[in-house]
Amino acid sequence: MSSASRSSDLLGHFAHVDTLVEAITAAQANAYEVCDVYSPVPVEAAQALISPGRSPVRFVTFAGGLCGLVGGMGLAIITSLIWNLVVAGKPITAVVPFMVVGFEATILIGAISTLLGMLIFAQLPYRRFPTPAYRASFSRDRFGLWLRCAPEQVEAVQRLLEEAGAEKVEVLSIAQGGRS
Amino acid sequence: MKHAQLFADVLAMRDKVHSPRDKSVSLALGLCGAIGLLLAFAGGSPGAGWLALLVATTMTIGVAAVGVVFAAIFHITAARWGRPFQRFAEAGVALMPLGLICLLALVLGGHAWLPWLQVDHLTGGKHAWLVRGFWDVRVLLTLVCTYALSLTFVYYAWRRDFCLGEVRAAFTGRLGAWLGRGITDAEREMARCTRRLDVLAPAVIIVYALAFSFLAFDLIMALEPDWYSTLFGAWYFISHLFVGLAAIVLITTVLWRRLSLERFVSMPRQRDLATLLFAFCLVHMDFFWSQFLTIWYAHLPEFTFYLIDRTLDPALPYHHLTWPALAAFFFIPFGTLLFRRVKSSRLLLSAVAIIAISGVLLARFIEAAPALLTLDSPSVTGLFLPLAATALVALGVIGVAIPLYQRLLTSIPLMPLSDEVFLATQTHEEHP
Amino acid sequence: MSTHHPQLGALSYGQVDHDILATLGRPSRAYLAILVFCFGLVCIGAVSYYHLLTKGMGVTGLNNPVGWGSFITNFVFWVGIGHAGTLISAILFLLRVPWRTAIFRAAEAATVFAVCTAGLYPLIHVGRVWVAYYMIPFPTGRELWPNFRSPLVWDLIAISTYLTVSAVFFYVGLIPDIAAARDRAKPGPRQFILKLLSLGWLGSIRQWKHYMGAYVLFAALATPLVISVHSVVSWDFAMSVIPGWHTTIFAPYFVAGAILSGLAMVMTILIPLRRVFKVEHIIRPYHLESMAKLLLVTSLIVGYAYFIEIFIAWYSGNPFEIAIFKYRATGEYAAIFWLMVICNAVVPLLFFKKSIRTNILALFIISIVVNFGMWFERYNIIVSSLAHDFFPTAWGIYEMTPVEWGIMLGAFGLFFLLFLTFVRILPSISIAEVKESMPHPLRGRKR
Repeated sequence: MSSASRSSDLLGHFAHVDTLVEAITAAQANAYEVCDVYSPVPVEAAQALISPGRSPVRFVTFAGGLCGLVGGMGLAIITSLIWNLVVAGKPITAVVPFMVVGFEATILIGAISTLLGMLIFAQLPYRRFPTPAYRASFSRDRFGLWLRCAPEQVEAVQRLLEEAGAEKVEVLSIAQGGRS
Repeated sequence: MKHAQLFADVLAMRDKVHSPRDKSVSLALGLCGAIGLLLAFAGGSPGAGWLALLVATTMTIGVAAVGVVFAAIFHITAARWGRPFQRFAEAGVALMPLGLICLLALVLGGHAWLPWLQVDHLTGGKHAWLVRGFWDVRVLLTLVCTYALSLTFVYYAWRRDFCLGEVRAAFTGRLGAWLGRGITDAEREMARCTRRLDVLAPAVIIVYALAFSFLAFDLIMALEPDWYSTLFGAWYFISHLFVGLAAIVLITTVLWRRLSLERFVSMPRQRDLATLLFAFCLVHMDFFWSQFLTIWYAHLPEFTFYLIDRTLDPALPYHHLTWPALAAFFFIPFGTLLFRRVKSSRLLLSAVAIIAISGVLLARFIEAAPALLTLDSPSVTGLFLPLAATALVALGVIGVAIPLYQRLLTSIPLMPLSDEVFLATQTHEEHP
Repeated sequence: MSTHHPQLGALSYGQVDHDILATLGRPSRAYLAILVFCFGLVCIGAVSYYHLLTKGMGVTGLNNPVGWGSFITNFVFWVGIGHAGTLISAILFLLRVPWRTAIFRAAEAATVFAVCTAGLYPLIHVGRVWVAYYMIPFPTGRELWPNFRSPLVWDLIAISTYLTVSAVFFYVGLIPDIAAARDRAKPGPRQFILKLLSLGWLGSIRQWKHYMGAYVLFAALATPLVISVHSVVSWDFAMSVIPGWHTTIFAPYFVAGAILSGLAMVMTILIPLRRVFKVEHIIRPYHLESMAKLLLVTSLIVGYAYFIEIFIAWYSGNPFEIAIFKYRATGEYAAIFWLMVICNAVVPLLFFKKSIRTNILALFIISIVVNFGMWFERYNIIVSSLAHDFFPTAWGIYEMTPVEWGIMLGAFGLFFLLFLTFVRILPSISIAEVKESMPHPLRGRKR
């Protein structure tokens, strides 16, 4: 949570991706804090500026998949040792058919882990919805750039956003400087 | 003129195909092949010689055809990523004469190695199907027809490029003259070629699948006349798709610096190729597993003997090779191609490709060896000579293939210059 | 991630939003009539099932030797239907195929509902559904555990995995669209529910980053499921020794057949849907033609499998294999066999002709023909092999009884009821992905 009381928040509404990216670049160049960017579609150029690098969800998936494989094979092997079903001339602990169980368990636990990883890293469910800067148009056809600056910099930031191509610039009144 | 620089770059590539070392590499590999054959035939183990020739032939005839299959798939799907690799895949037709000669040698020498000739009474349709004469003609004709169709496809694919004046001016050799003959209205001829390709592309794929299924039954499955598997044909032709893709990876790696391929293949496209190799590794393993699991589970002696001889029986040495083969064609490619680092490194990718190809070769060896070799001892030392002969003959085939392949590469434009999809990928912002 | 789709370039984000969300408007009388009809079918199924529960499995045609009949046929049929959705959502996503974007949501929904429908059948088939939980591996306190060597237990795990992963993939894909519907909804209970379901989705850059990272991983995990689940289902048959069942080609053959039937069902659904919802400019003939090509490929694979099975039966000389194929072609179920071959391997060949691939009526009719054909295929494989295995003294005939027909109608009714309900509650075309497949709005371009 950033310092609250002596900062101002502005929201730029953009209709185009290139103007949005231009605004983000300019904001970062001037060391203004980019609180968040809203978009109806993923924008790789903006993501490269705000949050470069790959999502770590894949590590959670890998760990989950591994647990699934070990768990699935383990379940089949251990239960076969506890309950010795002697059938059809096959070994009691038959690794060959158990591979199918292990494989499916890998996918199942891997997928559930991926879901959990995504929810955790994307902070979903987002309890503080809607944020002060979120607007309904951001899920339709507009992009939003939420900047924070010192009160004396508001005009400069407003100018920066307008020059970059913002359709509209709102100065937000946020009581305690809440952030996304 | 649009694409002028692109055309100039592509046409200039032909002069960079050869390198001074190529000849000596080919000679050395070719010599390996000759040594391999000598070792086996003169070393008192003709079975090992025929085994080496059979394994090399089955791989060569497949790799020669599969490049055109990939080109046909690219055509039908309008796949953008595959276009820079298309000509390298199509040029695999250079191996067709080699494949035909090897197959002819096997057919002419059939009396010496075909195990089903020793069987008194073949059950079922086999007594009509596995008959010398019919078998000989069928095997050769299947391959010739498949190759003829593939060559027709590449004729139209390349002729479409030769509709461009710059290409006709640059390639004036015999092949170029033949491909470019009689072109008066370039646009009309290009449209005609495209229409032909639209019809030929699905035909190439269908004929490949059927032809190589039957070649698998005739050349490999029939080695154990009492055994059969409905999936065997598909397993065989999928393995060629896998090996063919690995070969494309290897070829582009070897030629990368020579031909400055980074101009045409961006890093994301290279990773796409690696991802596709990963996918085929999985499909290949799935087809192996479908056969193995079904046979293991039902436990019927008329099927299990085949697997037991090759994977389990301690009285035979083949079980020593099972895990290495599985590791080479599945575990290693699967485990390594998961990682972006491997997909982004051409060196690591080519290492994986070599391992995968070796794994499939070893799998062919294991399939064929128990029927063709008579080994007295379960010790793995008995396999040294056959394995060495097979490896050397495979290297020999590569040695002979290199100059044939390179010669063809210098006779055609190395990128599909008449292909709208290719041109779109080159002008689009694809390169980081 | 997705490739830009030139044909959508003329639309704007706002228009896409509007057109797709408009499909969630007030339903027409015709829609309500069809919904009631489907509900009626479900009631028939429920009454039939109640009759079966109270009278026992004897009200079905199941007996010696045919112990697996319509229930297993329908089970395999519905699981197969589900595969096209996962193929289109996951595999075509990874391959970055452009025509996927407008149709995958409906296909995915069909998957989830098809797998739900399929999952009912093993429960119906076991008879004593009140002890069906015996199949679940949990500590019973009696040291009893399922037999993990059995393909039926593999089925349990594979189908549950498939249902879970498909449902999760489906829901995750819906989150941005639910957010779009939430933001357009009037305050009230509907908006409240959408707010809950959207999980507070903001579309922030960081959320998109983790969302897209996870989406690729879901697609990568769902891809092997497309192959493995129907392979496991095929192994219910292939792991036996029954002639006509025990053959190595079953796994890829069933997977190709599943995709064939799934694509046919998706086409059967999409063609009326695009007309009724007036989204013909979003789900274009191009999408349907692309599906038709894929359907043709899978039909060729299925045709290959039919041919190779018969060839190998002849080649092998196995008298039981030869007998079963002769029986299928000439015995009591011959009509089903020939209908199967014609509907699955011959009729789709018409798609080689572009004029047929691009004719909407032809596409609709052929998709229905293939749906029938694939049902006949399952019936043919399952029933004919059991009716005519090794010993002539053990041969017997099976016929579906009215109870089984009733349950089957109920299952079809349930699938369409679920699907029709879905298309009125949630967007049946992916808003976010259709927008993503359009060129980004850039300054100076008229929108």
